[in-house]
Amino acid sequence: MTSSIADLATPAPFADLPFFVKDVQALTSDLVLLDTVPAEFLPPDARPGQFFQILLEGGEVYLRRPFSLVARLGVVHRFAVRVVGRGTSAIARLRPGDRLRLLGPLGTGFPLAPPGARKLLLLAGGVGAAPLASVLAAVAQGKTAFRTSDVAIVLGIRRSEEAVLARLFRPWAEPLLAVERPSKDAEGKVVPPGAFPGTALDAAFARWQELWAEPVSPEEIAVFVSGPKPMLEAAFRRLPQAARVYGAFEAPMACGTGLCRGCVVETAVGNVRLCREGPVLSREVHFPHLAPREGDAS
Amino acid sequence: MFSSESDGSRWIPKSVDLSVSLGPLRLANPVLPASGTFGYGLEAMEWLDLRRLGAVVLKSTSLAPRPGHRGVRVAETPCGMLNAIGLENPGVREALALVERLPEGVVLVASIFGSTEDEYAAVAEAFSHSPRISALEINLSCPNVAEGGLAFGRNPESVARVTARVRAATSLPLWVKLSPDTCDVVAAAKAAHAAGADALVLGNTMPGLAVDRRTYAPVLANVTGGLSGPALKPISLRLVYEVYRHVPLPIVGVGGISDAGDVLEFLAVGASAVQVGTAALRDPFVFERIFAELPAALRAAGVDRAASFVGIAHRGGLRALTPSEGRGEAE
Repeated sequence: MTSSIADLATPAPFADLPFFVKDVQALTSDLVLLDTVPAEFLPPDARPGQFFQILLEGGEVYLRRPFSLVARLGVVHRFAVRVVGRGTSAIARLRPGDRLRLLGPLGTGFPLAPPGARKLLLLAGGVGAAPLASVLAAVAQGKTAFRTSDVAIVLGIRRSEEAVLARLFRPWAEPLLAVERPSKDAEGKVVPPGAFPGTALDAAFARWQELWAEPVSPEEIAVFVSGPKPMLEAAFRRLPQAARVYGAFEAPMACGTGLCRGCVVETAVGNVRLCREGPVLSREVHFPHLAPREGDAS
Repeated sequence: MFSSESDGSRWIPKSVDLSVSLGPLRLANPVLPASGTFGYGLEAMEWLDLRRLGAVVLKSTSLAPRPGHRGVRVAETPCGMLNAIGLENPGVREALALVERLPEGVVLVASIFGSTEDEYAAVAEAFSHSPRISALEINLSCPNVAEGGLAFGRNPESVARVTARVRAATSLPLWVKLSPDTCDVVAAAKAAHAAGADALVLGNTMPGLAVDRRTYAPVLANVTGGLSGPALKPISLRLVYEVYRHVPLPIVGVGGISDAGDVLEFLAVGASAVQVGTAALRDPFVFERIFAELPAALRAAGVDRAASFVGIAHRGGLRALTPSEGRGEAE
């Protein structure tokens, strides 16, 4: 029917290479930007949405941890690391000059040219936004079927202070902000000014007419979603059936190479591994049962 | 024999003989992936020449497909990890179709699993019809399923019953994989021997549990899982050492092996071959690394045959080696 299965089933080759930490900066209380540079060789170019497995040698952390690339800027490989446990805490404590190993790029990323899509909507959920920053970078570098002006970005955050996450996209474009629990200024206005009070998905529907300069019909749109699992499922359930929707999933992962089956999720085509068939899965192939039926209002 | 092998063996210096015998089966080298950490070999084909491995041990396979556990399946622990995959596999018919896609020249060992003795026998028989399969490994030690696996492996009588049933169903060399989670591994090993096993695989993951410090609930959806990785190595070394003393069967050692030094430790306590599992989940190139290090590690120990290293810990270690056992032959 479409090329999406072939598009989703071809992992790129990977390498395991030594890197140095160039910089670690805290973006929010639980998110750091980790800039790394290769010690010797550059790994193969990552497609947006692909990930690397980071290994800290000689520490108390045994397994690697998977992270999506935010962007490759020259030789700098930038990752957004959400601090959730022992492994990510150890990564957040790294200092410039520390060594680590990067295995990747791994997995199946976002399609560069979703069939039939003329416009692209990026729906980013808080600290899960990193993979979509790599999409926008790829668009700006001319690696996709889209121009930067074809792309609309809605960034959903929980609290106003997370607005700093917009910086992930700002080298290339300005996202529309949606704040679920917004702070108000002295005059009772939502901070930052212009932010939509609600979820990213609510904001996208409310401002649909403003996302692109011209009217666009659903079958001409691809939507890439990255964020918490409930957000992915809500997007699959509510976005028009004709739109091509892809989501970047997360799960605890061990090998990252498809061997252990530790990261599988149940889909319409059976159990799929997020490290190989994913982390980007398509609504059309993997979750067609979630899509609204023709004529359903969202 | 090495000069007669063409491609896939350039990595073996001619001066070190890595070949080992496991009963009726001869392997070009003693390093194998462990079942369940290597799928059916199709993924690793992309970054590894499978013919370099002593053999490929396939993922444990049941008669019908099994979906495995839902929810969180893996968790990290100090020096290793827990897994509770739940023996997800496509069933023996699909497994046989998958191995057809592997290149010729790869020695394949099928790991068989059943919830009943009948199922073990049926899976064994199905694999035995394939000319691609060189040996069977009976998984009597998976801790992550309610029926079968460890439920059989804990008890010498049921080890003997399952082994005898499978023995009657196949003429292939038969390996029996036993658990560290038993009070008397020697009794279980003797039972497998008496029932017709050709080799023993020691051990498997150790049942364990991890708690999420944010919620204080178990991390794994299955609550318990199998502990693997370096944390397991001393336990497996002890299993191999004890069984080597009491049971005259070749042993495949498995548990926490990550480098050539670990391989030599297992050979020393009595393993004729080893399986590498969790280390390959951490580093997909671990086999390349071990193959690069192993000949030099053996030479540094003064040995030019891997087989002559087997069991030397029982005879006082390196000083047990006489010149005729492999010192200096290459010079």
